[in-house]
Amino acid sequence: MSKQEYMQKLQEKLESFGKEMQEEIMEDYRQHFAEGEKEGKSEEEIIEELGNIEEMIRELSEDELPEEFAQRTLEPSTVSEGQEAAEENADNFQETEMKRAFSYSGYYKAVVLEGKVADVYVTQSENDQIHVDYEAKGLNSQQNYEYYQYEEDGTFYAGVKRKKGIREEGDSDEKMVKVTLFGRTIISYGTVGSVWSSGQSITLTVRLPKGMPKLTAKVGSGNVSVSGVELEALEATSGSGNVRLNETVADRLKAHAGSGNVTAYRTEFISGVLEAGSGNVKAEEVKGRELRCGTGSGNIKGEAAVGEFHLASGSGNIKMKADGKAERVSMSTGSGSIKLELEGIQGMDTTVRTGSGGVRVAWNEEEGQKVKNGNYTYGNGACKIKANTGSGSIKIFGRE
Amino acid sequence: MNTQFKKGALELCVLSQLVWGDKYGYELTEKISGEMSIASGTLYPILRKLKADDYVTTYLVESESGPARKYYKLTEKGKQYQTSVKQEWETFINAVNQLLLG
Repeated sequence: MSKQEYMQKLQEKLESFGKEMQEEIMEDYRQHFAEGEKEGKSEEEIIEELGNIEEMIRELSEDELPEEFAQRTLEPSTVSEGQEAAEENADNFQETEMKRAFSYSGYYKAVVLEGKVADVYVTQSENDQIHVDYEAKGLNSQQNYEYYQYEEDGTFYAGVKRKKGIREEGDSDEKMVKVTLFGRTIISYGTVGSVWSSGQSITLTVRLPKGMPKLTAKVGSGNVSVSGVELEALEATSGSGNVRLNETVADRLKAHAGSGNVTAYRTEFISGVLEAGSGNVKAEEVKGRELRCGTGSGNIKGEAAVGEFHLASGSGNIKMKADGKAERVSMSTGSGSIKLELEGIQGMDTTVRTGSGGVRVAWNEEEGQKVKNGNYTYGNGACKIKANTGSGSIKIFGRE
Repeated sequence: MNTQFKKGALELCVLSQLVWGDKYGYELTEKISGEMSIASGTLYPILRKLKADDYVTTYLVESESGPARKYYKLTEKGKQYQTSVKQEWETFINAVNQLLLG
């Protein structure tokens, strides 16, 4: 392959990421070529060094398009040396894959799913039954864990538990020896959710009938994904995995991740709470009356049509686009920067405070003025905005 | 190797390289691919992410021959992060080494 072909391919593969990112990565590669050529390397050598484009795209996708969970996108697909052995293992494990499907009918006022180490996926059922697909890959996961289901007081319970005799039941997960690195559990004795045991996984896919009032989904090290369901109340929690809500409607909605990320995409609610301990919180194209986002050290990012925003991060950045009807926005971070863009409001009453960063406020113009800490009112001042950061910069851009 | 793990390790490698001074992209990828076999291209998304997370900033320096070089510089936040992850890494490596001994 020539440099031209390689760059052509790169350009095509980057198409779906938007112009800005496409140009940025292309520029990085162009620069890499230039530097390599300066050192007297041939085009082929540089291409080999830069490596497989798909591999780079996957890296990019994990950060930019969290459509699916990282684990899912990581299924071995390209073979580079050193990965081959792991792939063979994965193949062996797949031979010990166990799949079971269950269906339940009846009226339930609530569904409670406890996944522990499993990934839990919830979607809409095509009929009035609850369908559960339980899938365990790898020997450990089959030997140590089993599926359970029971009903109590009109509530449907299902999940994954440790098999009796293997280890005591209950909260043994929390008591396990854990070694964490990069905010993830690397080794935890007795669990199959650990990063090291590749090929070991348990997945619980649950399809709920329309009109289910309430769903609670809780996992320890797995991920939770809720997609395309309508509920009155939704609570989704993961200890160390990610939580993702996709095209979901719930009057009261709460998503919490201990160390993973929380993402809500095209989700509607009256009151929505998205919380992460150390991961990022993303709210994309969400609608509702009140949105609360909080994270200890991650970033908050979103685009929302919401009446009231409460956004708080310990040390990360806050970046929000608000479309119409915003009445109140409060944002605070310990050391990150804040950027708020408001569209379709009649005016804003803005109070900004930063310890050491710069402040810009704009009303119906592009870049606006550099201003000091204080209070600024534009138009009818209807949207009350408060932004507070210890050391980051603040940008507030509003327009009618 | 698990990709999440690899990514975390690479992030740490990149940040640690920058502790010793600002570097441009090619310089970083050469240094890292000199020690381990990775596709250099995969480092660019990592650098991009480190920038988005405010662990590094970038600036351009005109070069006498060829296009301007994009330099990466560690931020205060990045330094703190590097310190804490490095510590985690050392604890982890020690634990593994202990276990390897039986």
